[in-house]
Amino acid sequence: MDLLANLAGGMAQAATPENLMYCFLGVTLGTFIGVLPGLGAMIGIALLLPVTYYLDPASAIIMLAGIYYGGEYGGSIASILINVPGTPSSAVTGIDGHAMTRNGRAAAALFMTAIASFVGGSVGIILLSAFSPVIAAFALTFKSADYFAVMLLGLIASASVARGSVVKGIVAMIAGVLIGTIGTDVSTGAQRFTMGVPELVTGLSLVVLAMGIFGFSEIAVSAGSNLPRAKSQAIRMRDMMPEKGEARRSVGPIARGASLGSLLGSLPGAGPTLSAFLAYSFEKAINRRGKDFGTGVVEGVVSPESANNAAAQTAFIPTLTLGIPGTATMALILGALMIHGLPPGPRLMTDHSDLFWAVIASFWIGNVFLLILNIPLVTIWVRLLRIPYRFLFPSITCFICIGVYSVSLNPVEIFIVLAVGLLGYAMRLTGFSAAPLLMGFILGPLMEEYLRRALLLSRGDFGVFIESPISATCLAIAAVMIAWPILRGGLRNLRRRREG
Amino acid sequence: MGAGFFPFWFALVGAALGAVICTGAVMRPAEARVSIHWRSLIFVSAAFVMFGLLIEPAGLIVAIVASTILGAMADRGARLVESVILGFGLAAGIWVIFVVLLGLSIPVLPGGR
Repeated sequence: MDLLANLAGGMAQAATPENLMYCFLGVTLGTFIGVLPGLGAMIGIALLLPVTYYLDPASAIIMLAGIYYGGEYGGSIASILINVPGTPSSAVTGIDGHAMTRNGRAAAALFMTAIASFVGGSVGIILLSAFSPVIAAFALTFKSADYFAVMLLGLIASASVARGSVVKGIVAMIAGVLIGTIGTDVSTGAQRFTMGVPELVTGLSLVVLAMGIFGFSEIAVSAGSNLPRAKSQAIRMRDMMPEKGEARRSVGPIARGASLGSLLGSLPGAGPTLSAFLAYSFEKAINRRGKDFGTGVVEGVVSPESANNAAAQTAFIPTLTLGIPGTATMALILGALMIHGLPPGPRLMTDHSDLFWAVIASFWIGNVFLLILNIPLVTIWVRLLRIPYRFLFPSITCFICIGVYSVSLNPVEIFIVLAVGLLGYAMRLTGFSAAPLLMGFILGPLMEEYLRRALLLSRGDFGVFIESPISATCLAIAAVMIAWPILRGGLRNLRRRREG
Repeated sequence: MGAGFFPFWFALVGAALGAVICTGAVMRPAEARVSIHWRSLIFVSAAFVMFGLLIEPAGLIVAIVASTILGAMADRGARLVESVILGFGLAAGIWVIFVVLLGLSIPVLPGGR
């Protein structure tokens, strides 16, 4: 079979000692950062982005992706033990997971979480390897107008599911697009928004933006808040075994979580967080023990965990096959591909198929590493939860500074990071989420390019966006996404007025 | 399609939505107050500024130690001795990764060596 041959080839490339090491480094750092509340996979990827300049593209993506799905595993540890999600997607795991900890069953919860994560992740990987070639083949028929429309849909979807108001999400996305236009315009050579600063002529780099908006502001916010710390709770291997019947009862929730997560993960904007929330509420509604959810039942732990890990894997489908990331983290991975000179889009699979399959194969390897890291070695992570933040935050600050400096060897970039970071901090305070901004920053320049090409081919006729069925559908969905919350708000007001 | 086309239309929509948010905020004054944690904001910013100012004239080690001390002060429980030890540890680690392994020409000691 083609698929198996491809996977075998990928496995051979991913299993070189060097790539194994990068994969291991990635998932370890991902778990580390995932475990610590207040730090997410974003900051981990941003921190390692400068280092990946020195790696070959496959190793770079293998490592960065490892941070991402490793963070999903790690996030649930903090959720279960101290009821503070290490990553947003594991927030709902804490409902029943922490209840299990209160019942003295933390070890069993951690064990079942690791198993559910592994199964969910594996299902996601299988779907990813099965569907990617099909979708990429379909995407090869896309024209410039279609790309523009799909990207616009992706951006609007990411803005709509962001925390807080949709309007603020869209404003953040537009701000990102505008920041993305800073620098020299590729086709006319005109300087845009450079204000005479020579460092801005080449535009803001992804490293600078990601480090500022996620690195600086996350540290400034977290260092000020008193995050709860883990109480010492002994996790012993022999307490890990689930009770009789628990394993059997988990099969259904894990399978349903994985299916739901795989589906949602591949959609633009959805991602692991939404998948985990939906899987939990779905399971609560249909499970026979649904009314006990919240009191520490294992079904409530495994279903969101299986869902978010499945979603973390299928999120790579649109990113790698269409070049359209569904979430900000995926946008960062896409940005890393572009740093290495790999053009995003369906041609990635045909022109760089060895890289594609090596990355996919590394996901399997990474998930096995994570299973080892999370079951026999879980006590290490529990101990890590007790590192004082007064050691952690200055260390991250130094790594951000040296990382930024290492890319350009220009100290001015440190001050640009600070400026971007202060913007990110202000956005956090006022309820604008940073994820749509990053998406806009990465997709904006690509969108402009496709818009330009589409209009060039149609000789300036905007009709092309409606004539193409793919583009028309995407634009229609995007319009509904914007109109729906406004309509719903209007209806609610109307009803309130009628009642009051 | 000129260089200004794309940013112009995006900025126009952005400005319009910004106006919507502003009117909304003025019509319904928010009850929630924004709380800024000045201590952490100032010291984390200072750590960045210090690194940017020191890296070229004073080199990696001084810059890292200085910015670690400042960064640690964002937390109330910081102790100077601890921060200095941490700073030297970080400087050593960063020197190994970026100078020894990656071979970057970053000034390590004062005087650009």
